[in-house]
Amino acid sequence: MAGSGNAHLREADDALLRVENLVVTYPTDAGVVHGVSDVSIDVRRGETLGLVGESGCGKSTLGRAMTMLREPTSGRVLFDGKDLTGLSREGLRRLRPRLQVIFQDPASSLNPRRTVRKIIAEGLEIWGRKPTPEVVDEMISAVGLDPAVVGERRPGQMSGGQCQRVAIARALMLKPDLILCDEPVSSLDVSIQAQILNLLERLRVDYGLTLIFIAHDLAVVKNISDRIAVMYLGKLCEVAPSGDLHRYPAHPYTRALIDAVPVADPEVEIVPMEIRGDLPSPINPPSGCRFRTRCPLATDLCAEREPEIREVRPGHYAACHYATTQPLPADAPTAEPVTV
Amino acid sequence: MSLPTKTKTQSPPAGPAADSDAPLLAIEDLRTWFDTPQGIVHAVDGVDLTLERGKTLALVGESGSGKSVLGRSVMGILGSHALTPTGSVRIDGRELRGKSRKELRGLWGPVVSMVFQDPLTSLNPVRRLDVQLTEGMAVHLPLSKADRLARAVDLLRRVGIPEPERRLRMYPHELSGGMRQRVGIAIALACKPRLLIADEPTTALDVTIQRQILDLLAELQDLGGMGMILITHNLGVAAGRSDDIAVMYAGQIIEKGPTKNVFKHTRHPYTSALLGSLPRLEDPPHSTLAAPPGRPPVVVDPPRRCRFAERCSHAQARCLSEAPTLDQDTSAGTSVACFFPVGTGRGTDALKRNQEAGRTAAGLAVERSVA
Repeated sequence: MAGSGNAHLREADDALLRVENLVVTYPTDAGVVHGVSDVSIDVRRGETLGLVGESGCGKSTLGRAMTMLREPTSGRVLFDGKDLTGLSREGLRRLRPRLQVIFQDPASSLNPRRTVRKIIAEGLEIWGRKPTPEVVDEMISAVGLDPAVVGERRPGQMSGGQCQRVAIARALMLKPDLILCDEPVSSLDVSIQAQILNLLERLRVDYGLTLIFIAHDLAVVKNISDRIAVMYLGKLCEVAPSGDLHRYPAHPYTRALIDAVPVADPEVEIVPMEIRGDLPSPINPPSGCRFRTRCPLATDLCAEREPEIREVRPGHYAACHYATTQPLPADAPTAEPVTV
Repeated sequence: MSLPTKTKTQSPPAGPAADSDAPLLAIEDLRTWFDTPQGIVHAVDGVDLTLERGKTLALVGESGSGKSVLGRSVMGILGSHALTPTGSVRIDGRELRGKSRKELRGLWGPVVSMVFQDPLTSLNPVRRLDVQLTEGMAVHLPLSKADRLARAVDLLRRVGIPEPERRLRMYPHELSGGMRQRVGIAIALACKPRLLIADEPTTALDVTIQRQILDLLAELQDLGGMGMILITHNLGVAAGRSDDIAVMYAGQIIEKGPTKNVFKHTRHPYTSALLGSLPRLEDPPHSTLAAPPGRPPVVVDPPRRCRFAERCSHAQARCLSEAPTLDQDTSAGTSVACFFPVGTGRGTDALKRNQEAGRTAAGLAVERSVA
């Protein structure tokens, strides 16, 4: 299987969340969509895992299956050592406060008819622990909004950035262990995107959160993550420490994602992109390595055999027959330690 | 763009310029205001810009800064609650402002054309691509139906759409987002416009597709000598894709000049904050981004003061009582509207004063410097 294997998994005891051999397929009129195909990944407590790839690569589906928002077709989801795939609906519901989600489009993920205070308090109310008005307003302040100004507003009366802050406050109210952030900044202006990234980073430290952060822009993912997993058409291509990935990308797809990030310097010459075209259909994915149809390095071998994920340097894994495996240059900095 | 397909309008000469000495686009003191329940909104409030043939001007700013309204003012496609703009918009020396809808239709396509942010809403969902690609040509180009279809195939091929003959018979919903934006570009280019206005053409797309679309626009522009206004909120996109940059804030241009100079000698604190907002691959993980706080104001009854003062770390008392004008900065080779620009003695002193006080004259908290 291309892009499969579990070499990149760490000690099970260290992981807050660990998924093994996760598969998500869903039937459509056109055929079975292979959303996630045999993916294993783990997140340590206090760590931010970035999932990056193009639209349709399965990163959102993986994120949702990792947090049991979507039942995986097969595979295991271990949260704090416990397999969630066997849990009843009620068991999952009881676990939900610990696993929260923030979505891409905050305007549609917030109830348009409720006020900000009501939206933020609702999660705890469901559990019979109605928060005091002071606690709610404190949380509104914690996400950088003025409760006196926005407290009684409804989502339609606020900007996208403000709605996203409310969605973050709503998730935080339940004191979660882990928050899945599914493209939370992709539809925002760069200035508002930066505000939200700064906010998430501060809250992660203040509240001791573990984050899974999904985006298509590698520079955004790099800013917030400790470890990054690059996904392509339902498979992992590369898993590496965040500080390592862009300097020493081993997979040709990662290199393409790096080339695609616009450089804010007119003196830097724009290098030609190595890949062209769109993602192939996940209904009928290419044989062997799924990236081979757009890969500048592809050979017959890539069509015949799926590359297994393997360690290309300490802590850095790639699933490519032709992965760059040269040792790091002598002056290369070592991977940044994970800050918990 | 809605172009009449049945009635043949007399289009103005698309080829040689009416006045070959005039710049391709000259905007002077343009004001576009809207009548809203909140009052008269000054969306574009006194803008001067010029664009030479074959060049690209990046118009940069946050949502709500007025950059899209500026683009639409040039096209003449403002909504019904817009007041009649004042000022002047000339293409090749010909005044566009005050032209009737019918006269403007003669210009849309061969003279000026637009690519919109969201191709799903700018394409007609119930018409096949062949119809949408050829309807402008039928009005403006002396081509037979067969030639128009051949040109449509050629356009689709040039924008990188595989199997163009087959795609012509498709509807927009049968294409991916990136493909739809390519079709939007093909339609905009169908009548060989002299000026293309690309309004956030890649904002709704993945970075990989964004990269392909930006490459495509640059390539097509090199071929035809077409001028382009690239509207974007991302200075990173503007950096490699423009000759000049104009940064817009609250309806006005607050910094403009050759792209290289604006990046090398960034003077306006707003431009500087937009640059600070960009996450960079070279920076270590968990770096704090220097984002401007808050968001742009809606300008009703413009105050006599700097419109950015509330969000600016440099703001002094003067910024609250006087409006800076866009003046040349010879040391930077740009123009800037700021009393205390970044990278100058005045600006450095202003920031230092605010850091010592822990706040700006407008009351914004600034991280206190350690004395």
